[in-house]
This record gives sequence, C-alpha cells and structure tokens, in this order.
Amino acid sequence: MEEYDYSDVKPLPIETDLQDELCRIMYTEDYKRLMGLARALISLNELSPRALQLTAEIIDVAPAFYTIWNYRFNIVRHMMSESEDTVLYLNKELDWLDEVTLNNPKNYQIWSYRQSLLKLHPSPSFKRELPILKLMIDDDSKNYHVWSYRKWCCLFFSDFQHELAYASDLIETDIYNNSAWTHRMFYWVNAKDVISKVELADELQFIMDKIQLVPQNISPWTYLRGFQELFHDRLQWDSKVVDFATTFIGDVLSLPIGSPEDLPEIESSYALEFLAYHWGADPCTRDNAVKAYSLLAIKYDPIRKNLWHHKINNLN
Amino acid sequence: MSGSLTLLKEKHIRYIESLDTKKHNFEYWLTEHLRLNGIYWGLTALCVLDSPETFVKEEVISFVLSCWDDKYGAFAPFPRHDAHLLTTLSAVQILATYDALDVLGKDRKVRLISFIRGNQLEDGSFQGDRFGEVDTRFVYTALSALSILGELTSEVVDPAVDFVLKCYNFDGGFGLCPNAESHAAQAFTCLGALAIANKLDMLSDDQLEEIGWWLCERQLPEGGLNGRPSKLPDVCYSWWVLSSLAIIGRLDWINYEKLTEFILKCQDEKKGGISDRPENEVDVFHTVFGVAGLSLMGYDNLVPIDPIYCMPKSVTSKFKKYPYK
Ligand SMILES: [Zn+2]
Repeated sequence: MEEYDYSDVKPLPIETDLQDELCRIMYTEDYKRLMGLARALISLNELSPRALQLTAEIIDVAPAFYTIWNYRFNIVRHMMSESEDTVLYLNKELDWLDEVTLNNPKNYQIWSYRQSLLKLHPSPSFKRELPILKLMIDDDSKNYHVWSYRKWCCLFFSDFQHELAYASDLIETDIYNNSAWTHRMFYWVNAKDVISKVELADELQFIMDKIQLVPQNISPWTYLRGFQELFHDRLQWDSKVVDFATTFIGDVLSLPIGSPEDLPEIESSYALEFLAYHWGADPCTRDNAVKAYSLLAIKYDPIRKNLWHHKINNLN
Repeated sequence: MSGSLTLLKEKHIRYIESLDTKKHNFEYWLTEHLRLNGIYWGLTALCVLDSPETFVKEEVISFVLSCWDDKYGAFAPFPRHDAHLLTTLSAVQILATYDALDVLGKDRKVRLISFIRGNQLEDGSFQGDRFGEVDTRFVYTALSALSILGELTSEVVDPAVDFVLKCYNFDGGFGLCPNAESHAAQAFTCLGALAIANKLDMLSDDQLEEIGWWLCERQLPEGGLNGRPSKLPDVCYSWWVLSSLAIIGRLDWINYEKLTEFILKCQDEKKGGISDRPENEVDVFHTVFGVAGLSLMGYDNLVPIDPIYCMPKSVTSKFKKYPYK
C-alpha cells in the first residue's frame, strides 16, 4: 500500500455540534482521522490518487458507507480520463474490487459499483467477470446479489452461452438451490425464442431426473410447472409429465378420505399439488383435483389447509 | 406449547429503550448509516406495544431534523452524512407517527419532494442515492414517502407501477429487479407500492392466486417463514410475508398458531428483544418485525399496524388516498 501525505488537509470535524443526548458518540481515533480527512477531501472535491487510497481504507472498515462509493466512483472516472491507458486503469480498479468483494460477501454497493465500472469500460468482458462470480457463488450458492449481477451481465453482454451448463452444475452440487433453478428459467425465457422438440424433451428429462432423486423438493416442481406453462397451455401438458407425477402419490387417490392416521405416507406432497393444479383446469378431472386438495389439507400439507380449502371452494 | 409462551411486552420495551444508551460501543458507530432507520424501527415497535412515550418525542424530532442534508435536500441517516432515499422515508415515517410533519416547514418539504422525484429513472424505478443502486425497495420507499406527504402524481406513479409489474416472476413471486429471483421482501415492496398507487387491480385474479400461493408456501412445518424456497425461517419474514398476504386479502392462508409460536420462541427472555430465529442474538430490526407480525395476526390486543406502511393504523388512516380527489 502506498503512503500518501495528508498533512496539508484540515480534517472536518465529524462529531455533531448538537448537544442532544441522542447524538453524542464516541469514535475510535483512527476512524475519526479517516472520516475527518474524507469529509475534507469530499468537500474540496479532490479527485486524486491519495483520495482514492483513502476511500480504499474507509471501505476496508465501513464497506456499507455509501457516500464513499460515490466519491470513489467520481475519482475513478476522473483519473481514468487522465490516465494513458483507460482499459488498463479500469482493469486495475476491477482487480481491487474483486479483492473487496471477496472480503464483503453481503455488501451490495459493490455490485452496483461494478455495473457502473463496466458501463464506463471501453471494452468490458463477461469472461473477466466469470471467475469472481464463480468464487462468490462457491462461497454462498444462494447469494442474491451475485445471482442478480450475473443476470445483469447476461443481458448487458447479450451472452447466455454459459448459463444452462452453469445452472446444471449448481443443481448437481445442491439440488435444493432455488437460485440455480430460477436462473435456469431465466435462461429459457431470455435466450430462447424457439425451442426444438429435442431440447424440450431433454429439458423435461433433466427435471424429471432431478425430481426422481429428491421428490419432496419444491424448486423443481415449481420449475416444471413454469416450464410447462412457458411452452404449453395448462390443458396440454405432456402426458408423460403427468404420468410421472402420479408415481409419487401412491394410490391415495383411490382411498377413502378418512382420518389422517389411516392414510399412507407419499413420496411427494408437491406432486399431489402439481397434479391437483393440472386436474383442476379440466372439468372431466375436477373431482380428482378436489380430492387431491382435500388430501393436502387433511394429511400431506395441513399447515396450508386454509389455502387448500380455498382451492376446493374455487372448484365447486 | 404456545400456551406456555407469551409476548414479553415489558421486556421488549425496556430493550428498545436501552439501545439508545449504548452509544459507547464499536458497533454503534459502525451502524451510523442505519441510525435513522433504527429509530423508526424502535419507535414503530414501541407503538405496536402501546408505549410510544418510551422515546422522548422532542428529542427524536430534533434528532431527525439534525439529519437534514441541506446540500441534497433530504434526510441522511445521521448528522453530516449524505441524504438517502431509505433514511428519508424513515424520517418522514417518524415525523408522521408523531403527527409532526409540520416541523418540516414549506421550504424543506418542497425540496424533499423534489429529491424523491429526482431519484426516479427513466424506466420508472428509483435509485437509492445518486450512485444508483436500483431495486424495487426504492420504488416502494419513494412511493410510500410521497404518499405520506400527500404528494403522489401520475407522472411518478404510472412508470413506477410499470416497473414493479416487470418484477413479477413465473413462480408467483417478485424479484429485486426484472428477472431477479423471487424474494419475500420484494413481494412486500412490490405489493406495497401497488397498494399505495391504488393499482392492485393491475394484477389478474390468477396472478393474485399465484402470489398468495407463493407467499404462504414460505411457511415451514415448524411454523416460521422463509424468504425463498429451501432457506431457513427468519422472524423478519413474518412481516414481509404476512403484510403481503394482508395487502391481497389472503392473510388466513398462514397458520397463525404455528407462526406465533415461532416468533415467541425467538424472544430473549432475559434482556428482551426478538432475534431472527431461536437462540440467536436479538436486534431492533427483528424486534419490530416480530411484534408487527403478531399485530397483523391480531395477537393479544397489540396496537393494529397497517400492512402497507408498517406504521400504526391510527396514523395511516389520516393519509390522503391516491388518486387524490
Ligand atoms: Zn431477518
């Protein structure tokens, strides 16, 4: 880290001069010094290497302090225009940001800062972003800001080529990862105007394989329904998919609805719900839907019994 | 089980009161950027617990005014910090709760409104500060603040509503921005924004069914609610999910008894306060959303809270309803 001289800067006081009891705060000396300097430089609008260094030090202790990100961005934009090689300069800034990102996985200013840098960059590259995205998702596979940023990148670069394989990898690692399932839907919605019969069949097979592994997992069921609706009318669902779902509910549909203890366990309440939704759309299968919802209310998902009763009322 | 658990009202009041005197620790100054929000959370919790006088009204109001950022014409989280949309909403909420919006004066009010409107982007969304993080939280924040001030206009509302509707997802949830994964907090900000704009009718009956399903699907067999599928339950979602269901008139799709039990188990029986899940450290954020959730479920005569504004109903009933006559 380079040493800069700030001795000519008169730090602005950061304690408020209000006498109010609510406002009297004890700061540590170091924090006081840094913030006092920053306030002074911001008020002078100094856009210099030492100001940049100072923002790095403050981001180190208080990364959620949004003002400092604003200030840093102004400095970078200015210094970039003065530097001989803009690309090199911005890449160095991105390298620094990678480091900060790794140390602050929960911070979200980082990601909008990153977007702003890419918009500024004369030749931004998705490829440069992939390693940090991967590291962050390896660390927390459901990190909301990282996933949102990845989607932003896909749209910004109009590049979806890595996405399906990436989502598959993540689902292989953790079949419950709803973020990865959602990302998969994002891929189909945005990257595909037309889907071939082969692709459709492959994707359905992928989903069914995953459900077969863990039948009581809400994400692939929701995804399956969404995927069906993306490409088919609710009545025209693939009969293969409907048959597949019925393999997880045993023979409960043919049993009398008695007390919960008399009903057998089933492999997946989501399968029952999925089928009820499908059956409810067709008058010929409406009775099945009513029965399935009743079973959910009584035995297989009683915590939501008011919802299931509402569904039954809608059908009658 | 839930019979033996009760809400430790008095302890929670003392806990919130004590936050104010713990100024001398390290975390306290690190959270300066949340200070005004924190006061709003504390005050709202106290209101729900029917003890608003625990904070000294005049002191709080003078602190709020000391957070005014004259450069940008809005409120910062702390004196001499920079204005931000989130803290501006907190300031407006606090003043409205105290029926003290008049202290703003005409001049500040005009600047405040232009600050909020000035943060709207072309696509109808809002940025939180001049740097430009964009998400549905800020749409809600802006509309809520303007609504409390009685200053909504169709120029602001219509594009904001368009943006919110773009955040609706295939699974019945809402994301932080178009395409982002559904998240319970975003269901609240989107539905809250639509409710404030009086535009819930932009959602079809089928969508409302799906939204209700996605929301009540957040309840886990143990009773608590999560923010996304396959995540752990967390008390703050008692608010984000319940208020969303209340806004679309489907609150009873949640099992009250089980959720109540979960929230009560997150209380710190010694020092008061509520945590995100049982045995964790309490904080004011989870305390307010825990008691607010209980209030929505009609627990133990708590003071009724408005699901759209997260403020006492007695306060919000005075707001002008958009579109203005
Ligand atoms: Zn929480």
